[in-house]
Amino acid sequence: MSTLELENVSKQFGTMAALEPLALRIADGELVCLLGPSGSGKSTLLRIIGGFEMPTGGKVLIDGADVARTPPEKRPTAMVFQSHALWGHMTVEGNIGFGLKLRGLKKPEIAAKVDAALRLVGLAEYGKRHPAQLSGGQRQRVAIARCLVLEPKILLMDEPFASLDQHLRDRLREEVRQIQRKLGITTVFVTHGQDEALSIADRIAVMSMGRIEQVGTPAEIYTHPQTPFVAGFIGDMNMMKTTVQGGAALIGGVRFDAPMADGEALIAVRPEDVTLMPSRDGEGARVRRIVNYGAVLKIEAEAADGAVWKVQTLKDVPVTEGGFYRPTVSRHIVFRDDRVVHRVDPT
Amino acid sequence: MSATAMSLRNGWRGLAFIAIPVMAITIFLFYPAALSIIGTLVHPKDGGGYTFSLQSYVFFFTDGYSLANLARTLWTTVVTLILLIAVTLPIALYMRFTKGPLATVIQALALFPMFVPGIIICYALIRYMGPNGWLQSLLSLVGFHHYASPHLTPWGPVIGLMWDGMPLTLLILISGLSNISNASIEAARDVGAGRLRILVSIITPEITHSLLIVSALNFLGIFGQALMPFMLGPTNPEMMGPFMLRTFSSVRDPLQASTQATITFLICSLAGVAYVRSIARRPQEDRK
Ligand SMILES: Nc1ncnc2c1ncn2[C@@H]1O[C@H](COP(=O)(O)OP(=O)(O)O)[C@@H](O)[C@H]1O
Ligand SMILES: [Mg+2]
Repeated sequence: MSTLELENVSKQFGTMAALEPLALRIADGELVCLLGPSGSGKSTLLRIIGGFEMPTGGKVLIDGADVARTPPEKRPTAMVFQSHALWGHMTVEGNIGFGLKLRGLKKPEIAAKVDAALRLVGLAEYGKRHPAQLSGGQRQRVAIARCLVLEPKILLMDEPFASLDQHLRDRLREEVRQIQRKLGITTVFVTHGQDEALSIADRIAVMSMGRIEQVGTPAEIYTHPQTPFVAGFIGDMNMMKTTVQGGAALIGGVRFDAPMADGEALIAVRPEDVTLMPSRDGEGARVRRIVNYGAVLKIEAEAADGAVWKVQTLKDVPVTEGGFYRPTVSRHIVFRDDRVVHRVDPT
Repeated sequence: MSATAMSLRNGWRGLAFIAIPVMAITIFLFYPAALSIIGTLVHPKDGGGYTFSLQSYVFFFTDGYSLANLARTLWTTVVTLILLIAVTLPIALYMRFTKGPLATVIQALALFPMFVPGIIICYALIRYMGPNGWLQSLLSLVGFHHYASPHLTPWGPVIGLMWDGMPLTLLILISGLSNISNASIEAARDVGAGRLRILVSIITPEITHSLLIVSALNFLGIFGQALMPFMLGPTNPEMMGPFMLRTFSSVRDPLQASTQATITFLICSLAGVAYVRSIARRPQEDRK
């Protein structure tokens, strides 16, 4: 099927650089999430892939052919928009069949394809309705069907479920994942929700301020963040500024290995990598707050030097609010100048 | 207090609220209108009593002059309406899909006539396009000497009425166009539609409602106009507005004038019905 390669793609809006020159390769049949906070340039990048924005520089290669200057109506891409993108004066069938009609297909052929697309998204009975007569989730399914019916090489989705409630969002996300697997269609999915990205993506490209900070599988992104931004943006993290002296740093009563020149550094520790051992009153860290999430407890503990530990433990570990515990840390990452300098990971 | 008592009280208060305007409309509008319509059908008999007669209508529809005036009115209305939409729709499209200072300037220019009284527009147009007016002088400056002024031809009122109708038409069309989301246009491009195809298959159907309203409102406004045709148009045939005025005050034939008015009213009410129906049957799409 199809591969997508971005080479040195950049975008300038007036004097503002929305995208720094960046590169990304997406393999055939892969689902890649663009994940980042609002304003990080996700939509701009997706719209460049779809042809709705011209890049200021760089190449957009689909199966090796540069389409950077090709208008959207001539690109083998199809986009699902966040909302509002169905045509209200047409029925569901009309919406899905419109692109086929433009391609000059015959009526019976269109009807068959529309029917198959509707079946694929589970709306076989809804062809004669108008978009106004559908729920929000159904409308997005129609929008997906409208894209898939054209058999695009690349499917683009820009926060397609952002306006739906959590439950529906989870379900549609699963369905999209299944359809994408079944068709093996190369997909770029934009989201600002880390849960969404972690659960749906083959690989995630984390974006910040017009840059791709890191590309990797959800597991890589989670366990081996390459920059402090990625470390802080995905999952919970204890991010602590400190000063390294003599190859080590001391925070909240814990000694961290940091074999590097003396100076400022940033230490990142996952809450689940912190263990609390009971200690004498006044020693270690005092537990300020415990929140029970059923399977796990999330704990906040304050050390004597003011450092606050976010800790996550299994719920049968005995911890009480107000009690004193000595934290021990099994994994940590040391950053300096936005780069990983040292990593301690026993696994 | 029970809910029904509450809503009943509110109901009465609501009625009291609208009572004065309703009474004013009834006393000053419906009553005299009904009187004059009835007056065209029921005539006092010599020696007391009344007789019913369609004679004034028969006269209107057999009189070549009256019919020519009606035809001229319809012609002016339809031609103005078509030109108005042909001129305004591209402006509205431009303003909907373009941002920047030029669009703002164009919008200001197009809305400007709204703040100019009709009579001033008339005199300005006469000075500009009338015989030996500015336009003729300008043209002869560049060597064009065959200028034929539209003033006092059927095109005179058309030009004036277009001036007059443009701002409202533009506002309604822009508001119709603003209901079309960028995403739905981009989605159309995405599935392969070019500009023309988008205009025909996506934009036009989405603004039929606005086009209907624009057509009906302008029809009402143009058909009964007296000022523009009086100032800018020819006298034979002439539009219904000046025709009624003249029949009433110069010819002093109130019966024939009311008959002309009733016919005008009936034709306009067709446009009114179209307008009311298109408002009542709003597109059912929920536009969040
Ligand atoms: N058409 C545009 N004109 C000017 N600035 C834009 C335009 N589109 C996006 N931007 C800017 O580019 C940056 C990235 O926007 P966007 O790609 O929409 O971010 P995201 O989708 O990650 O929230 C933002 O600062 C935004 O204001
Ligand atoms: Mg966005």
